[in-house]
Amino acid sequence: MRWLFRSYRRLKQLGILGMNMRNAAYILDHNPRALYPLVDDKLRMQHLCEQIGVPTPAVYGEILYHSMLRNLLDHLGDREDFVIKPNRGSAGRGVLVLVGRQGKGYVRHNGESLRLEQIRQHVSDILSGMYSLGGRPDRAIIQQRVRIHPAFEPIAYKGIPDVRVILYRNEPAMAMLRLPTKASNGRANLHQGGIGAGIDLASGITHHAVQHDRHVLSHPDTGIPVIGTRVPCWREVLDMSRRVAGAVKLGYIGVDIVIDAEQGPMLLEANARPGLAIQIANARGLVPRLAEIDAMLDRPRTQQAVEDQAVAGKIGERLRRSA
Amino acid sequence: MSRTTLTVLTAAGLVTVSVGMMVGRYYILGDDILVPRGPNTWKVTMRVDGNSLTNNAKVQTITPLSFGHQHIKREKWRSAELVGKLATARHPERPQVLWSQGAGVPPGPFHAYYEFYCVVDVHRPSTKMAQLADTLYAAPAAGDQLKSAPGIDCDDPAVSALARRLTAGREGSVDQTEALFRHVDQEVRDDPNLGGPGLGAVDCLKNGRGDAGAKSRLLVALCRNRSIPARLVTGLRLVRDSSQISHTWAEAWVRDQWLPMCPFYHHYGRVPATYLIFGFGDQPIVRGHGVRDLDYAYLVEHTLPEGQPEDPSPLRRTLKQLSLDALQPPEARMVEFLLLLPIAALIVCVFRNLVGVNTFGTFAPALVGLAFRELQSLPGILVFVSIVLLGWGMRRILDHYHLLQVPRTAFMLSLVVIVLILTVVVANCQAQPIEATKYIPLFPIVILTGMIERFWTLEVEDGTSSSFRTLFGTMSIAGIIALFLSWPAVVSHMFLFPETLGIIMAVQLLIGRYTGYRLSELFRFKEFIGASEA
Repeated sequence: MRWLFRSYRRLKQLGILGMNMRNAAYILDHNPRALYPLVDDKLRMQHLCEQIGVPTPAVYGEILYHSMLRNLLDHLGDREDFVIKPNRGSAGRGVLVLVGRQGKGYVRHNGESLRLEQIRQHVSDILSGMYSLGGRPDRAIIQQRVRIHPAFEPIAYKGIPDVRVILYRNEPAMAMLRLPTKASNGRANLHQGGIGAGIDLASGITHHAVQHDRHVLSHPDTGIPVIGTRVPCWREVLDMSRRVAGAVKLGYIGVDIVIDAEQGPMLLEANARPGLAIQIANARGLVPRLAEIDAMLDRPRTQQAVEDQAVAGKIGERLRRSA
Repeated sequence: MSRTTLTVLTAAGLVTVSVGMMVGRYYILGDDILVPRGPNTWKVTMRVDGNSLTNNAKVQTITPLSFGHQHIKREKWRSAELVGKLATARHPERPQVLWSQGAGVPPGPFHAYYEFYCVVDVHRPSTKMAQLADTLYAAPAAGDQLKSAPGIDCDDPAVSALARRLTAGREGSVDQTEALFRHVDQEVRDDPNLGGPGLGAVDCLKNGRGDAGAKSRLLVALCRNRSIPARLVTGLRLVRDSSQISHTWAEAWVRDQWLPMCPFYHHYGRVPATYLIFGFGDQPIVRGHGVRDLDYAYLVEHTLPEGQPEDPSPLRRTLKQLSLDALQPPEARMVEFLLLLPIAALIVCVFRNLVGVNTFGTFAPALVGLAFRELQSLPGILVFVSIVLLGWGMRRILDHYHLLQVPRTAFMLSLVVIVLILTVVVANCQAQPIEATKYIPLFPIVILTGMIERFWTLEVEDGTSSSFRTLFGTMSIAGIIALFLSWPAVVSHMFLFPETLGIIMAVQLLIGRYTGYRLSELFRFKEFIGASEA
């Protein structure tokens, strides 16, 4: 019993954000329910991103009705690789990554071969709402497959890593790099055994990593250290996530960004209820950072301007020296 | 004002209003709030005395049936020396309180009290009461209630001779039964009832006299001798008296119905509504194991004696009319279920938001828990879990067919229905048929099907351990809800003070703004804490 109270106090001291506090104090207070359909709908997000100049993977086509399944091959065209995902899915559920063709069938990112019939079944499940939030009927999107950035090749197993940035009141609060593993079946999903590597917001370098909530130093499948990796185009990633958060008008949001080998950072999706594992990946709690953002944004404007100037001066000085 | 302050103030307001209403109603109605009153409502107190000889002493007291037109409520039992338990789930047709020697209580004299209120002459019984009445008043099986039994020697020559003589020249069971009744009623003299086993039919006939039990046994023996199925009824006459013991009368199967007859108080064809039935057959009211000097008596009180003026205060009258006690059994049962639903939901809130247990669906555990409460059986939970697991196996097979979601779920529902029907049929084929309805809850079948689908999806997406954990979480919460809501004190409190709903809502509001950690998070972030301390 004493252990429970001690742990409770310790978590509080460490500033860990619990599920109840996330829901009551951040999601319910800062994310109006009316805006959820926007972030949960990948196609609407795609249009929004086009308007604000944020790149997203190209959409090749949409499958809206079961009757369209008969002509599935027409929709897929002669493409070699693409991704099929539910429009209103979450946590990577229902995402099918196809990397090449094999006779009349296709090959998945993990090497498994799929017949067209199996793909048709998967799309049918998506349309029936098997992977959509709340189990409502959904649409299936055929999307461009992102190519892995060379920086991530040594630390990813048969999949594409992505960066999750949590923004609070449009300010990045915490970020992590999610790496696919054999255990996660090549998906960048921590729940299934992917690696979460905390990213230092200032430098964009990973500083701590976990798998199944346990500290790891290197990738279990490739053996390469996962700490100390510099995320390419880090400033762009942060800037892009800020623009997305500002456009969707959610106060507490998780933005998932992939970095394509050729096209650079692209928005994958936004999440109105981002999980808490990012704290374990970073080995630090979110509460102090969220309080810091509150303090920063709630300061009187004049004081903020003075401090901003001072910070700008210091950064300028540092840049001059380094030059 | 912050949202948390607003929540706390609203919760405080709800509690104040609820407590205010409770106190106000208690102030106006006084003890009437606790006591159901009415011209057909009686309070009965039973006292059992005895001496226990061992630490394993056991006592059984049979209790009245809540069925047909008699409704039993507010049952209470207490004893300083014994621990009592009401046992109705297994055999609703034979309700009883099972007493056992309390832990640490040395063998010796004991006193036990069992108290209840009963409403007789109920016009609209609940479905359960009507079903029990249908079972107990069903036609006897061929050969049933026709043979000799202890105390009812229907083949005795004297009994046979008398039966033959009395029914000579009379055709039809109605005439014959009436003739037999008239003889026992008028020709056999009454003896005072002393309790105890009483005289058998043959002795009663030989002595030409007997108490209510002996005369009824003789009447039953005579009827059975003439191949008219007949049985004894054990019960209590609801008459205001300083002390009384049980009463016994008889019933005979004539013209396709059980015809009640009391040869002691001269009732034929109909007994007064105040004849409270405890059970059928020659059963002792109290029996014990490892005890001696067992004795018992009842105190019967009328809650609203005839001639007593109605309440003069219009406010009191209105409050009494609005009381849940004024409801008929079917409505009372529905309201009882409705009152328990928010408590079940609150338990789900506590487990999900304070403990952090994952479940299939938000309120599925609440509904499943209430279904288990209705069944009052733990094996029911095992049957439920087995069906989920069996369904999960079937779902895995079904996956090969690649069916669309809605027809697939419909197909699963049909499979679940077939499994349930098979279980019922197989249970019935046993040497001793098992009443499957006691273990299989019917109403949450749709929840069951949904749960199988969710179980499968979770297994595919998050792994087998995750799906089993969630199933365990769901069933644990359902079990806790069933146990908690089976506690009679909870049900009777909610029924007496439905204002408590306000307090429950206040707690739900407060949990809604609880921003502390869930118990499960202390384990989830365990390594985190360890690393920071290191």
